[in-house]
Amino acid sequence: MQLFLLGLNHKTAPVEVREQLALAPAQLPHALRGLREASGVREAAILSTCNRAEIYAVGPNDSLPRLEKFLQDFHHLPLAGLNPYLYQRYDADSARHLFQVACGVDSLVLGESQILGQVKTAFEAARTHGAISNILDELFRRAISCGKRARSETAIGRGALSVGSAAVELARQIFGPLSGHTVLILGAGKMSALTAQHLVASGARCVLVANRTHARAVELAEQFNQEKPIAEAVFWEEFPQRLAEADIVIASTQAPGFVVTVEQVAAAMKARRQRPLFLVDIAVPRDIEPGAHQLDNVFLYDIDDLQGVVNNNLAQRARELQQVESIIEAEVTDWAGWYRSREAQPIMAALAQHAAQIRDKEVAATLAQLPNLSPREQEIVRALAKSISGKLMHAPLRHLREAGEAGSADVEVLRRAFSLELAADHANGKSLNGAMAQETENSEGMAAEDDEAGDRA
Amino acid sequence: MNTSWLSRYESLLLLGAVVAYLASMLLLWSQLFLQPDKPSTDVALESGQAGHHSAAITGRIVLGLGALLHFLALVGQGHALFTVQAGVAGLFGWILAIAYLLVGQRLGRRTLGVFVTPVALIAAIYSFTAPLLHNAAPRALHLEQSWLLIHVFIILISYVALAFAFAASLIYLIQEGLLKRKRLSGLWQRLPSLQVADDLIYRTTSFGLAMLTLGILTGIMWQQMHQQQYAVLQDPKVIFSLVTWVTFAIYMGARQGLGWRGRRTNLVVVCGFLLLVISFFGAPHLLNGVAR
Repeated sequence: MQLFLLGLNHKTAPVEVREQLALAPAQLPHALRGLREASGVREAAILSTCNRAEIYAVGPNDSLPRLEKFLQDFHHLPLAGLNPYLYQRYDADSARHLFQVACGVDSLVLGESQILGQVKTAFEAARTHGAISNILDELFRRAISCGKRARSETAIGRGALSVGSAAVELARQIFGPLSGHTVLILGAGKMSALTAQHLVASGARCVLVANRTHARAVELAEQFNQEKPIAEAVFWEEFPQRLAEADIVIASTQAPGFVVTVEQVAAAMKARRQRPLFLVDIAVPRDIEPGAHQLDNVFLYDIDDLQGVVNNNLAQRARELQQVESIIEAEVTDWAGWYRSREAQPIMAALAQHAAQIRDKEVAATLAQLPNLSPREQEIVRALAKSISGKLMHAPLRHLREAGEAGSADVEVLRRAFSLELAADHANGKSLNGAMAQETENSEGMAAEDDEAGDRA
Repeated sequence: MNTSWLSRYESLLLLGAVVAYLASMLLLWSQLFLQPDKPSTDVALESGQAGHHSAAITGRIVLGLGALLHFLALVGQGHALFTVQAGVAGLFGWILAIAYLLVGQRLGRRTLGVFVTPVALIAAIYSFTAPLLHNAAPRALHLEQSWLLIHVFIILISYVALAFAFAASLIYLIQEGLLKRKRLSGLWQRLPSLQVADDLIYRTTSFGLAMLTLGILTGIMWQQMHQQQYAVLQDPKVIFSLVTWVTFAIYMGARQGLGWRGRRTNLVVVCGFLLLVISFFGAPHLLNGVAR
């Protein structure tokens, strides 16, 4: 039994290849079922985003070629063409990779948060369709919590990454909470609408739209008014008068020269009694005279300044990388302990079962020799046997679990000490389903036994 | 209460307080300048925020410890507190620390402490330099004593409020400078926004100014009761206090009346606080009054 990862991402494969492997959410159940049937793996999950396609699977040690074959069959692609783009990982390395993905370390934009949601979605889809049981379940849970930990303990997810959200970040540093503030849009373009949307989402209460073609301003104002009436279209000739009402101005007209002059801004500042004014000029060529920035309480940022904010944030994230990697390493070590302890579980189960069989056999024989015992006395005999076997087994079982977690050779020593045969084919992968059923049953039985022993000890 | 043993260990207690203030200041500074930022708002994170504030929390606990030691030292100093300048300075530092612990978090996020703790530290060190305060001969203060107490108390409250205004002004000026120079990495995200700082300056200054007015009036009244032929306008201390008062009044007037805002008005607050410090330390009383 091994944990596999087979996949490709934006680093290994160009978009022409990635798009061929992309799966729509609706295709996922079909793919998961097909994957498990075709390759015979026990557990499988598929993480498919625009930047990556990855299969996580738990199955017999020789599953990988079958996973590759499934990939080419399912997408009708020749494997030879796919092979150079694929990467394969095993066990702890697969876990490390998923943790890195969840932390956004493997993303195109370092530390972006969307990927964590996509990992969650992949996990939930696989769980809903019964494609995963305990190993992948645990792996994905740990990956999600690792992703959260990285973002809360480091600044990997900190800072705006788009021009629009950089404008919001700046506005917040000037005004604090944006509730109750007014945004003036000059030039009803797509960029300005998007930036204003960011501001409205952060609480801006009122939007004024001015455009040379008034109809376009009205149109954009209506878009903003769909939920709440917050927007108003302003005639282009009127905007210098309305400038004083605005706390934030977003300019993105097509005009060849400056649309807003220093004098206009100065007049607006006087009218608004020097309350701060944030000017965002995302037009090229620029719309607002750069001299406005020299006025007291006026903050003028052009497209390059905003891009600078974004670049700064990216650099800041890069500086956090080392710290995130050490969080990931700690989580991988933790995971590896849990994973290895699972390896010992069939042996623990066998040992517990072995003890239970001897106990039941001996109890039956003893009771047969003592036919005159009352029901209460019979119960005492059973309890005695149970107590002895439980106490005897407690230490070896605990040692097995610990040895398993540490990956120690003691597991094998203990197995031989008790002359245990493993349930059929743990090693060679025959009659998988039977082995799986048996193993689950056993581990449950074992757990009960272990608990009892623990209680009495 | 028997405070003799406290007076014996007074300088030791005060030393402890100074060390605690210093440690607290360094912790709060490390929080501002060294720690990574708090997590972004674009992912809902239910866990793990505690780690980042630990330096700030430790800083406040240490500050509280310092304030406790300082309190015991003050008790040990006895009534010299109110009559010797260094004693009053120590009292000021203590009230500042207590006020920051009580309301500082609510007023200006954690960054306020970065500028408030050094002020408390300097005040405590200054009170430390005047050795053996309790040995200063206590002047006989009978009827006037309660007036003096009221005066000192009101003045100290106003100083604390104005120290907050000063700290917030520094925050404002730094933040404004960063935004104007477009130096946008690290520090600026951890300072409060201009609006928050500006509101804080306005609120603390108006309160501080009102208290300062009352304090100056009670001071003059006390002096006149103390000494009949007291000429108010020949006392440098009073003159300095009035200049300070006028400076803060200019801030209020410019902001309310003329609609000035931002850098210029907040520079006035910084100047006002520096004048306040000068009028406290620098100007001697013409008469052998409160301070020597």
